[in-house]
Amino acid sequence: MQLTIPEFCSFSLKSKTQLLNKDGELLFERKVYDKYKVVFYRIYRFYVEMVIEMKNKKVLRIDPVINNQIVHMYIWKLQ
Amino acid sequence: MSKHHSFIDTVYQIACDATKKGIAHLYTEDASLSNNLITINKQKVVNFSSCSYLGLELDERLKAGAIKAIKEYGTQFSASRAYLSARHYAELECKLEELFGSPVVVAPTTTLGHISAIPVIVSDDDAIILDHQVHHSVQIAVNLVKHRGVRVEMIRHNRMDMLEDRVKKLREKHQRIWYMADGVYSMYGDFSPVNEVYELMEKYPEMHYYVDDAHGMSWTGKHGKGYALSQKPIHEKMVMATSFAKAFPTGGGALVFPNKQLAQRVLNCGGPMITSGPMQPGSLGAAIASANIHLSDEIYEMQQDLQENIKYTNLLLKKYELPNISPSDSPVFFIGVSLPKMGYNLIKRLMNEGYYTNIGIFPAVPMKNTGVRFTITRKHTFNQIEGMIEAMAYHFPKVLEEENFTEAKIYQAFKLPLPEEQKAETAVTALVNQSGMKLRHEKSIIYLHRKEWDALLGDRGTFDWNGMKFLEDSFTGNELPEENWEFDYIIIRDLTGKPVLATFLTTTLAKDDMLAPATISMQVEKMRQNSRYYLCSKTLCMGSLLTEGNHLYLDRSSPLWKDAMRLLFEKIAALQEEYGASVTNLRDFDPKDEDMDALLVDNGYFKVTMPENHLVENLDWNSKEEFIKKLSFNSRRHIKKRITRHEDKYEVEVIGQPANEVLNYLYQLYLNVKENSLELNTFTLPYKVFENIAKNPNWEMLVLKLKPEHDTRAIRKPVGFVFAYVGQDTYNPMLVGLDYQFNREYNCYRQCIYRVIMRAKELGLKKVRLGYSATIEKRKFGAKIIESAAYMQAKDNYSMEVLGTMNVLEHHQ
Repeated sequence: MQLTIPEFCSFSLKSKTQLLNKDGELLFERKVYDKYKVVFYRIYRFYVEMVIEMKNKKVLRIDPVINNQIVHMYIWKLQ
Repeated sequence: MSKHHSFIDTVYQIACDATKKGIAHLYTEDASLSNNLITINKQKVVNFSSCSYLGLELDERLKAGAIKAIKEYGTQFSASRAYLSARHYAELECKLEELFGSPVVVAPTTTLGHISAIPVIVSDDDAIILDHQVHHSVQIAVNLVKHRGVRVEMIRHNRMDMLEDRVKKLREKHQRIWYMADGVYSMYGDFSPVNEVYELMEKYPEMHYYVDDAHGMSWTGKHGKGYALSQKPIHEKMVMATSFAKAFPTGGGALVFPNKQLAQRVLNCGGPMITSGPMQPGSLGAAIASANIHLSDEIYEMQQDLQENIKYTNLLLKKYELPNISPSDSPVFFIGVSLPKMGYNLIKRLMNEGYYTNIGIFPAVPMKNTGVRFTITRKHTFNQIEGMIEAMAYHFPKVLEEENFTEAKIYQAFKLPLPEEQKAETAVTALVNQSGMKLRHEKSIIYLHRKEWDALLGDRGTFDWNGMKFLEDSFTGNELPEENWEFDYIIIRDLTGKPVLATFLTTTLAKDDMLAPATISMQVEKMRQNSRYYLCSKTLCMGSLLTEGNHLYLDRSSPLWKDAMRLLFEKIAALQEEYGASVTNLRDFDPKDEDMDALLVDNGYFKVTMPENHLVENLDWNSKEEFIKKLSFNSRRHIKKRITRHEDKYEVEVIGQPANEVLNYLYQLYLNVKENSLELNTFTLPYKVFENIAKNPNWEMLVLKLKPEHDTRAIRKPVGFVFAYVGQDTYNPMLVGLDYQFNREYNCYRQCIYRVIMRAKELGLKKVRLGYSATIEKRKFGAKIIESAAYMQAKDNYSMEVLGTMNVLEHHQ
């Protein structure tokens, strides 16, 4: 069952993680200053970024990527 | 068999059906549990029936608390709380007072909590208003105070306008009026409108609020104090009961009071507080551990997790367009399927897919409001929730197809707006096309062939072709709504044109207490003095209120008989909607016919025992002496003493067309009987019926007068009469009138029965139908008792439950 971006955003961080594990497809991950890991997922009909604090493996945020340029950048990197 | 037994029988039958279908009275087979997976009949299923909404029952801290308390005090501490309580009680009550922010009394169960509190807090001159859907355990406790004469009424579910109306009325006589409701309702998961109730409490000083928040506990509110108290702080005129057997989850219950005095009063005087066993150490230990969690911030994280699952469930139900009856933020969900057979089918399919859900069925909900009830806990994963709802969405249309049902009818049953595209669907046409049967529906007997109708139903009572014509003439074009009936004739034929089923239906305004005990009807009639149509409903009935006997021709040798019955159900449902009838009553069935019973119950009807009917057969005697000789010793003695002794004192006349004043007088005698007879409480027949009987050659008027030496009035008048319909081989006395002034001395009623039998013999008929009631009397004349059952379907249970709350004792006080 597909969720829309607002529906997805209405969930807590814990639930978003659950949804990503269930319905998402991990596409790409990158490190930022060796401190954070940013994981790029495709879920339903949109893309999200998950930001993880590497030290204690804590998920800090999961947000949809609505800026197309950023999406294209990821996809370009994937290619 | 009493009506009560009939209710129990229906509940028993439903439970047996559900058990037989493998969805109720089940046992888990797991040696131990570690999550929400359980094994039933060797199959691992996800449990969607647990009310432990926060999933705390497997928390190690609660287990350790229970073990510690048992090690300290053993498996039980057996003493009445009035004497001595285990120390854990004091510790738990102290923590609970912090949790609820008010004085608390702990009870072994919520039900015992109600039984402790309600008789103590409600005074004899108080009044109680029950919400129609308030939990059964509250109603049990209310029954205890009913016997003290406390006035008990019921309002429709969550109808604050009705509540205010009743409070306005009751405050004239009562200083305190208790509105009793659930915080969260256990079937549909909807809420009590707490804020509106508080507004009414502010407006009316007499109004008080007793709320059972068992299903609201833990998963919402500060420290998990429950739904009701999450809306408002406890009101000084409010008492709350809650449960520890749901989300808390240790067993036990609690009463929360606005002040210490009231709490102490219930602790000191509440029956079970004095005489019943206490909550035991294991439960107390677990409850203390649970209270600790509730008093920590951890509870909010748990509440949040559950809310996420609830939100996800609501979202999926909406996306899959399943009929979620009462969408809310509570963890209880109800997917409407309307009929029990649909519910059984869907639940069984879900079980096969690995999901265990519950059926919500009569008496918890009206028969036609059956549904799949499931609960969501914090322990469910999104995967499990989606899997279950996906399975439901997949099987739902398949069940509709298999059971020949439509989604539109489900929405109709729950009074929900119809999905637009389904409005045009006509189930009857669909079913006719499918089975190849032909259904003929007429609005008047004149369109039906007299010979065929009489061959099918003519020998069963007063509803041969002529009898129906008489009824149509009498019950159309009248002034009052109850005197105008709709007539519907149904004949269903197989492909060869042979009738498989024939019957007629009438729709009219009827009294909901028609089959209730006379003491109840007496109370309802009092209310009707101010409001003529109080507890009256438009009722669609097989047969009519003025006919008796089996009204259904059904060729049981036809392989299509069940299909024909289903087609009849469809037609009835369509007519019910067309006429806006809220009750359907299919009557005069053999109560021992198991096949028919199963078919009717599966299609949403519940069984009600009808009053006993009486039939005198074998009129093969040649003289009255021979007739009497055939009776039992006691009956012979009775007949001689009460009847034949008076025989010569009477003049009996079969009159043709009486003068207006005579007919008027007979109508008065009828009214005498009507006023004295509430066993079968119906509306008074219009005078027009008498006029039509007088004109109709198929009816006879048997009029009894006393001879001049016994009736010394200036003008001798009839002391009794019987109007009887002369059928093909049956004499059918339908109306009786009596002058009670003479009845005691001259046994007029008994004389009427006797004369009816003699008249039937005189006409060369084979049987006499003596009708309902007066069993003892009629048996003395050799009448055989005909037991019969009616099957009813109500759009909601409200009237039935209002009648249930009527205090039978009031009449005697």
